[in-house]
Amino acid sequence: MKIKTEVLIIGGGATGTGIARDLSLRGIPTILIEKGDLLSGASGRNHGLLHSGARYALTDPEAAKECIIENGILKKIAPHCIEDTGGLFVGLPEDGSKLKDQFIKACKKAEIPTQIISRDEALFLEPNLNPNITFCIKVPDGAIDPFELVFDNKRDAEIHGGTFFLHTEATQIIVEKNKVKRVLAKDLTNEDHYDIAASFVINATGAWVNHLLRYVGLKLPMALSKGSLLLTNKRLNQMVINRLRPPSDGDIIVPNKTVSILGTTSLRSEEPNDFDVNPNEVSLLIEEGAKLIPSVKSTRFIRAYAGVRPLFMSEKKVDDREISRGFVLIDHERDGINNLITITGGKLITYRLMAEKTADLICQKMGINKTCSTHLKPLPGVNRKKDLKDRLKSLDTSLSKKRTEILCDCELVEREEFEEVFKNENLKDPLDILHRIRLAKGTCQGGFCLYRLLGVLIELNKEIEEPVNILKNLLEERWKGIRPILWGTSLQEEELLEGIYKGIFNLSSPSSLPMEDI
Amino acid sequence: MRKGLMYFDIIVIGMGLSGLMAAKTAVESGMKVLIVGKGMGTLCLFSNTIDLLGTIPLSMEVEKGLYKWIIIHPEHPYSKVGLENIKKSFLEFNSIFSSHYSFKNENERNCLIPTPVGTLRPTYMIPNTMVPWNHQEEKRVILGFKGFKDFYADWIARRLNSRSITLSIPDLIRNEVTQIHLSRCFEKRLFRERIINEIKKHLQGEKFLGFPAILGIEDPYSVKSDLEQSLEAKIFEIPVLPPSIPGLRIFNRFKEWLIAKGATFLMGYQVTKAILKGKRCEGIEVSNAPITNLYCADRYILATGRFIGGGLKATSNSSLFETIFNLPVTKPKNQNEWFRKNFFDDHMIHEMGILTNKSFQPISNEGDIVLENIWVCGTILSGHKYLYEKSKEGIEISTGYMAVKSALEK
Amino acid sequence: MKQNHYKNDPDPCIRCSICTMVCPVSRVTSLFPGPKQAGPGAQRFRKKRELSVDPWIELCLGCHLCDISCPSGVNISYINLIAKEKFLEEKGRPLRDWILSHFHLFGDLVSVFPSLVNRILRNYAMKWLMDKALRIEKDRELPHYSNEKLTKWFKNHISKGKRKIAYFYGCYTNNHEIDVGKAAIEVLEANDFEVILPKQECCGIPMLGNGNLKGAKKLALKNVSALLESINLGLDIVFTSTSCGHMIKHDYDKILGISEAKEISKHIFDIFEFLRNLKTFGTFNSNFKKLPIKAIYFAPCHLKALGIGLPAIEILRLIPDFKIEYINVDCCGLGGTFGFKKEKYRISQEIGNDLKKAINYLNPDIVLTDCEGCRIQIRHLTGLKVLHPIQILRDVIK
Repeated sequence: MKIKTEVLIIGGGATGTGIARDLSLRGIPTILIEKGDLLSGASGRNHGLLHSGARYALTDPEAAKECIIENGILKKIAPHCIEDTGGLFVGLPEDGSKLKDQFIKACKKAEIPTQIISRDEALFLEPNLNPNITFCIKVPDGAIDPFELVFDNKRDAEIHGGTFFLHTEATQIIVEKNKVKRVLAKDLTNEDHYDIAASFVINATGAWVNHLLRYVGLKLPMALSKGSLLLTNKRLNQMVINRLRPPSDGDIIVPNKTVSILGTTSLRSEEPNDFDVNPNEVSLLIEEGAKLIPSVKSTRFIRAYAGVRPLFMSEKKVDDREISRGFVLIDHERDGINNLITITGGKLITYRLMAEKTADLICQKMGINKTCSTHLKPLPGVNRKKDLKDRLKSLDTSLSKKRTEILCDCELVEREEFEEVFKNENLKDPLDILHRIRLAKGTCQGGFCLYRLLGVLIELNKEIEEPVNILKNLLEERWKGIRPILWGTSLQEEELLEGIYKGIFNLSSPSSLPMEDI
Repeated sequence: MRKGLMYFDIIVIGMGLSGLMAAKTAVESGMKVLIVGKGMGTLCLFSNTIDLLGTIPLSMEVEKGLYKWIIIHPEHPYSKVGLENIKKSFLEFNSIFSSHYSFKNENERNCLIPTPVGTLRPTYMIPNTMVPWNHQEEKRVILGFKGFKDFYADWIARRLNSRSITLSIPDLIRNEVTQIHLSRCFEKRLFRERIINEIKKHLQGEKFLGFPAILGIEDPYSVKSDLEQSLEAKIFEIPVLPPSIPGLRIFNRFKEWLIAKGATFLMGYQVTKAILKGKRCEGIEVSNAPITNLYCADRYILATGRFIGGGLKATSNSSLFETIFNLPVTKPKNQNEWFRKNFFDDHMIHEMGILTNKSFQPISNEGDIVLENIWVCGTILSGHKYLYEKSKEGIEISTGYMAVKSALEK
Repeated sequence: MKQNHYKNDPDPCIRCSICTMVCPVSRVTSLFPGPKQAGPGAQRFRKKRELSVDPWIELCLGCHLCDISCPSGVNISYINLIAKEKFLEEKGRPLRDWILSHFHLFGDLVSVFPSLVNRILRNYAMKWLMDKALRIEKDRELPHYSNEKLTKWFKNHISKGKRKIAYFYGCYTNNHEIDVGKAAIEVLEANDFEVILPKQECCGIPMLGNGNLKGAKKLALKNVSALLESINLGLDIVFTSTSCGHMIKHDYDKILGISEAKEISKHIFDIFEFLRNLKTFGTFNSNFKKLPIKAIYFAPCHLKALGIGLPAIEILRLIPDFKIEYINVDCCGLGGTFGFKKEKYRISQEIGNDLKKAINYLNPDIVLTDCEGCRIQIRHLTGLKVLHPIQILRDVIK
């Protein structure tokens, strides 16, 4: 299939999707292709932290400033994706108090509002906090749902004419006369082929930038850094809790909906999809986390996961639009390809700024004068906020509205929610639904509801093939997050689920029938 | 705490099938029995049918298969029990069920029954509300219920070459029902009549109707017969996600029997400490916070199961232990080795358990008896992989029976 | 209750749904989402400083059947109770709930004119009025007041025995069923105990059940100091009401946080548990007359939660020619004050239906149960004669 457009974005993380929205709002025809579902990379595997920027106040004041500005913007345009929890920076006795004053000064300079609160007040706000903290500073951190955020960016882009091709992988980039003439891509779900001709191509593939650039014989100096995180079964804290010390492993705990997220580590990696969490990382996160919240030692964990950060290793002599040490915007005109741009690095919270800068550059190169409006216009789902209270209300059947059955008992996801997504979003891979609803994100991580999900899918889509294999694959995928945290209650949970899938369902042996010979 | 206040001949710790079987065996031998359990065991989770050894081919008589198995697997609980005693224990198990709801095997062989995902599963004894796969005819309908989210007739029917009907439940104000709710509905005649009318509208001459396993708790056979008469077809139950109603039926029957025969039935109490003196257990402390009751017996049967009920426990730093007597547990050294890379792999942790001698007394690696008046039974034993062998209930029944028999011989 | 999880921690829940299978409320109504959802499930969504959005939490009976069945040791009914308390603090408690949980206050007032009050409470117009104005279900018979209080009767009674024992009678026995109290005292005396009645208030369970933990604690503190006095004199304490007993023995410490109650827990017994102990020591008077009748015994929820087995059956089985059968039904459905509330009456009746059917099927001469609430409910459901097993025992002692 031949397609012509103005801008082709390759990569469906927060950045790529944010650019799609920005350009679409400026009226520029845009297509985005992504080899998986949106948020396949670091965007879908992070803390969900809405930075206040305080974290960078001492080490990178420019980045800090950017963060606080974006923090405010996101709270305005995407309140439904955000829980304005506030955050605390605490000091432990072993950290000393040298940094405290420097920190406050630096935050002031970056215009990040801070407030010193007493230990008693801190313990009132956060009863689970380590009572031995020596000081506590309040900052405007928050928790953000990257999935809600990015999918809503997609919606807005589509409303304004943008088109998304998911599960579509670029297979070839054809360069002629210093320009990318065409990009060939393949739909991984049905073998359709696309031949895309775009005036400009944006490489927003995050940790995969060099995978794409090899099609044009280029390479950027990238370092891939794997960061692992742990999910607790219940929320241990209501505010983000940071440790005030030079950036290190395991010094932050972010509350996110029904859980708390402990993070993070930093291990050099070779592969963009190195998502295995090793036992040392788990021990480290628990040990460090326990210094902030002592009950981390005995709390139950439900999942371990990792994301790979794309870090651009900038040389002293900077080329092109290196906006800040945070993110990098490279116009490959310097490499002889006039219409190819790579945007990489950065943080989730600055995605909109990265998109803005990228879109600005595109407009500049196009010679048109369209300004950014992504910081002004709220995202379309802005009135659709559903917080924990609203979810809990679904258990109240006295309300007159008849409700459908709850498929995910742990996260209270109703069948109706699932059916809505299924009908409205023509998903190539029906399992992408799992990125759009909170099914399987709770205590048992889909132990019961993955079965129900498939059962409902079969009712809605009679053509679905080999549901038992799909179920087994889902369980294997789930297992990656479970294996690193198997002790205590989680081990009991697994015995239950093995008893169901291997026992009652008899899914272990390939043919599910008894062997012919002992 | 008053010593000697609660004194029994045998104390059974654990209310799963092995504990219940042990208690029954002890009561039958005229012992004064206490059975104490943290919960209801795992009957209500997994046990829809009675497995013996699912790896025995369907064509082979189970006795022959067991005989072979025992020779190849000397460390397996079955070889400690012995073929004759396995047979006796199964007779004992069957004896508490009336003709109304009873368990039968298929010509002394394993049979296949359908599962909630439309696969087939080998098992040995099935209740008379289920029908072995090879007895079923092609013209088959699987019935599901709208709002019953633990059973999907479409899915099962697809895989099993059948038709499916999803019925609306009459009088359902809200859209969601559970196993227990449906079971109680089916026990009501009025409900059955309405369902039957609904079903009749959709039948196309099929003679085999598959229902989820929710045809009543007290008297499922009568429910089934009533349906069969009115629909002029054979009905069979298909197991669903936990909680398992067929498992509950077994549990209730054991509970009724034990209480009627005078056993002390203490459900919901956790044994928190064993009072040990040398190589003997002098008593157990049962926690009922803030009170601790002390119970004493000559003999103790440990039937606490694996991890779900807390019989075995694992901590984050590779420590894996038996929670009451701290009996030695066979295990691979490293926590990394307990589980393999894929969910569906054969995990090492399943082989871990309490090492015992032929009489089910707990022993150390060197073979010394650890405690003289404790006997261990059920899935907590080492030497088996019940999930892959499909031998859970068989191990529970036979070792529960045998542990007490051995205990009484001393 | 299980050992390790005192607090309302949802972590131990493995989502197996066994609790939902045994819950008497969720099997009759879908208004209550079941213990798994209501307790550890909802707990993950509750935030301390946010308003409660769980009105269905009032439907938890507090029967503890979920706690007993949980393989993991989740304190489900405790989680529910804490949530119920918060919900009711925010919503406010209607006058009716105050009346139902402060019934013990009326005992003194009523003792002046008990028969007049009984006539008024039976009057249809009065019941209709209470139904409309206070939403107290008119189809319920309200408890009948005895002609005199047990404490008054005891004042004119001389108790003799070699050893002393304290008896916690409970306000229901004191005001409405004094024969239960009399029977208990007589049986104890027949076993050579001189009975003392320590100063006592209502045990507080009606308030607890209505989510008023503060009020329950006030009463509890008074009882704790009075009962400790008896204990310090070397006396044991017995109770005939399993609800009062469970409240004092377990909930005073565990839920109300009164640590002195731990000492009381060691010395307080269900009366049949106590008699069973006497039997073990060989000092039990088992000189019984014949009683050729057929009885059914129903174990109250709080008895199951006490974890002492079925001592009443063990003792009563010693009576010659007496046939006693244990009925295996989960809950009678009254739930203390629960079944008196108009909006909960139907649920309470649905739950009790199983029990009603089972009793009618067995066709006994008499039904026995240790809890006054169960006795009220079984009489209401079947119209049969329902007694406390101690009354039978008193009748057969020679």
